Amino acid sequence: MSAPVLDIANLSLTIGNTPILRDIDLTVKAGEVVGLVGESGSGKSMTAQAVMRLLPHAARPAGRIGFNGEDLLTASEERMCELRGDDIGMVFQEPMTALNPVKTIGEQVAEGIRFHRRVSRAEAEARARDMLERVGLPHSRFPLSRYPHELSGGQRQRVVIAIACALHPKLLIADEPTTALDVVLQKQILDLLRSLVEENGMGLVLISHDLGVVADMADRITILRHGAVQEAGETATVLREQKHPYTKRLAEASVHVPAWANAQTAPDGDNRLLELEDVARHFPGHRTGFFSRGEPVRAVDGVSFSIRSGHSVALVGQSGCGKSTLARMILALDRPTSGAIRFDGMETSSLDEHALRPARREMQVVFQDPYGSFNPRQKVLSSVAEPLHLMDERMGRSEKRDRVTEALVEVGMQSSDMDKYPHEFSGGQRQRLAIARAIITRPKLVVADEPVSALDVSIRAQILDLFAKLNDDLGLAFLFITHDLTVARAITHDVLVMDHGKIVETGRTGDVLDRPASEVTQRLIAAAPDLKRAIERRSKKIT
Amino acid sequence: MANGGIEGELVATEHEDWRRFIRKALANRSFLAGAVITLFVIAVALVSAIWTPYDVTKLVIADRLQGLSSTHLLGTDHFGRDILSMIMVGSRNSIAVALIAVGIGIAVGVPLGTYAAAKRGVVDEVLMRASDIVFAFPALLSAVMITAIFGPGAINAIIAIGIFNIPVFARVARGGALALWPREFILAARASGKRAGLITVQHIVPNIANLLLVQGTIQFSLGILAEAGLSYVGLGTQPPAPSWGRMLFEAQTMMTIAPHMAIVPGFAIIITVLGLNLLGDGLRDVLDPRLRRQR
Repeated sequence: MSAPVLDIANLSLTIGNTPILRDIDLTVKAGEVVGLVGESGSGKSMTAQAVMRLLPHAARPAGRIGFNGEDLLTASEERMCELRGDDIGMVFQEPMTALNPVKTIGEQVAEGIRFHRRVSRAEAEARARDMLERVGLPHSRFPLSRYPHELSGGQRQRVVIAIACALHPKLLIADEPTTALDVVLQKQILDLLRSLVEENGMGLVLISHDLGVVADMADRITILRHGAVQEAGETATVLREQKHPYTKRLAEASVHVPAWANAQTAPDGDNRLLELEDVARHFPGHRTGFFSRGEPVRAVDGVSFSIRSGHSVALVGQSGCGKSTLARMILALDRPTSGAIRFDGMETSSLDEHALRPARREMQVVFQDPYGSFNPRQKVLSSVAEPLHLMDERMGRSEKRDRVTEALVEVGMQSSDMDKYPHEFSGGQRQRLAIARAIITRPKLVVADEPVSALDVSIRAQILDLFAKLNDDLGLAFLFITHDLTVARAITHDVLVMDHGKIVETGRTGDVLDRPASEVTQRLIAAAPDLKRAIERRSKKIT
Repeated sequence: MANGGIEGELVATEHEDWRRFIRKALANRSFLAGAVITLFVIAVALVSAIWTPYDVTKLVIADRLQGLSSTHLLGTDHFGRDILSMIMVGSRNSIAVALIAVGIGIAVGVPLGTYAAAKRGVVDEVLMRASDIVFAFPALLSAVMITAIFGPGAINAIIAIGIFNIPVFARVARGGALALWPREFILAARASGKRAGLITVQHIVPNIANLLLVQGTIQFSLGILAEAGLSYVGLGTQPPAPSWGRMLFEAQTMMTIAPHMAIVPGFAIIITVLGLNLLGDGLRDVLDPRLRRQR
């Protein structure tokens, strides 16, 4: 093929005196997908922002960003405005915030067309309609007059892609376009991006922390770390040979399975720690009139299962299937509309807050977002010690500190960490602190809601190791809520597959994932990015 | 040894946070200007408690209506009282009334607002509609009404102004609390068996303190204006205690002979309100989490 669409040479960037990027080289040809991989803080997004010239004020770039022979770093702001959205499109990670909530989707897609092409409103809307149709939002079900809040996350990301691709850009930059979506939606969005690349012959820079996704999509791959390129080349070659030690480390961390003694020898017996019987949770439907409401939403619809003590169970399903609602009811943060939840011999679904205290002591929770899990104005000591509130006897200050120390050491942190504030820790460390908080009362069950999906792969591997260790050492039972099947496979004995508020399949994790019986499970497995499979497929394509 | 290390680190981090705040605050001009003016006004008020150039209750008719001079820096009024001394003592009244009124607003409004946010549903609806009703009345007019019924005086002025601060703080507190309740650290606290009241005290209030502080400075300046307004119509601080609002009223008839009698207290009100507004604006900029360094 001819000259590359994008040709970044020796791109360096500093903010203040801190170097952010060092000598980045990256080329993208027309019709080519280039994956930009790295962990948080590696400079992936900063590179993308440099191409769009949407850098923070203090950033000082140097080098050359060639776009069709033009140097974008020296181009005028006026010229950049012409290019952005017309020749260069961008898709962001968070579909919830990338759209303007007070404008209809039609307006937002048509806006760029009208601005760049100076066509009439009617024509812009006609084009917008075509584009939305193209990204899988047919006019009959998704008229231009819809507002973003009426759409789901996956549908919104389609709108974002429609905006970015409406003018057939020569280059599309997609910054973690699927990180906020579940695997099934991720697959659909990736398929859409791939077909748009083939159709329009545009170049695509796919930024991701997920090697599996990139291996599946990208022709070539560039691996970044600390703002510098570690390795670059054909995806198949780079990932098969794993010459560079960092590439190897990333690849290993992505498929990491913790050493877990209890993996095969799950504690036996019939002691049912948690038992759900025909549990349902309905939310009132939308108001249709002053006094009338629509059909109630059945978020959880007749769920029954049990967890034995010391067992680790995965609850998998697409987003919106009712997993988190179910988790909140198990944790007695919400009450079921009907049905019964028994935990450790107590019927928690009917107890008041005071009577719940013994049950609360025995079950704790770890959330997805390590940044939102802590009160930013409290020291780690107070946050981690919070569940000690459930103990019957009041604890002295020194005893409290001892308990916190014990918990911190257990999760691989130090006792001196308790006097720091949450913002002094990284995401992975905060997730350890969240786990320390969850185990401080020595509970029997920990409910973990997507505990590793916000973490980098290497950190993720460490946290999975920690969960395995806690199960081995403390005999903790886990309920992992996740849409990530590799997590389920790595760390659970049994799996529950949920869809539209119902449990559709249960069994040993290995059995279910290897021989899925239900259509839902098959769909989940087919959509899950798999590094090994992707590398094999790529290698075959070349030879 | 180890323990000493921990303590040392602890001090260092707190110190650092505080230093970062100071650095940002000093770089913010409106904060700086507002803080200087406000501190000056407060200092004047404090000084007036122990010393004023002249006794403000002593009438020296012989010295009446003097202009600015070295014996009476800001001149004298129609009774021969020293205007500088009256301004000083008046600042004490204004600040006391406005500050206590803000205190009433916070003491009643914040619990109401956070309670509404914690309970939601009917409780929330009733409390917020009640605050709408209070809001719907023009504040100063209703304050005039209250003092007209219960009699003029500083205490009743405080109560009247305080009542109108309540829904302001209730709304700010409720809004801030509503945004916090779905956060994960609140869920974790609930999973630790903490009741809504305890969660509000430990988690909600510290995280909305910034909002309340900024609102507090704004209400403070509005309180000073309201006190001046009430005194102007004779319903606030009663003679012989001097008050800025009444000084303006008394100056009205002397405008052509002694304009300084109106200009000086008017200027005092402007400076104080301006200072507090600048302080509030500056504080908001310094504390606004959106402008903060991403953590």
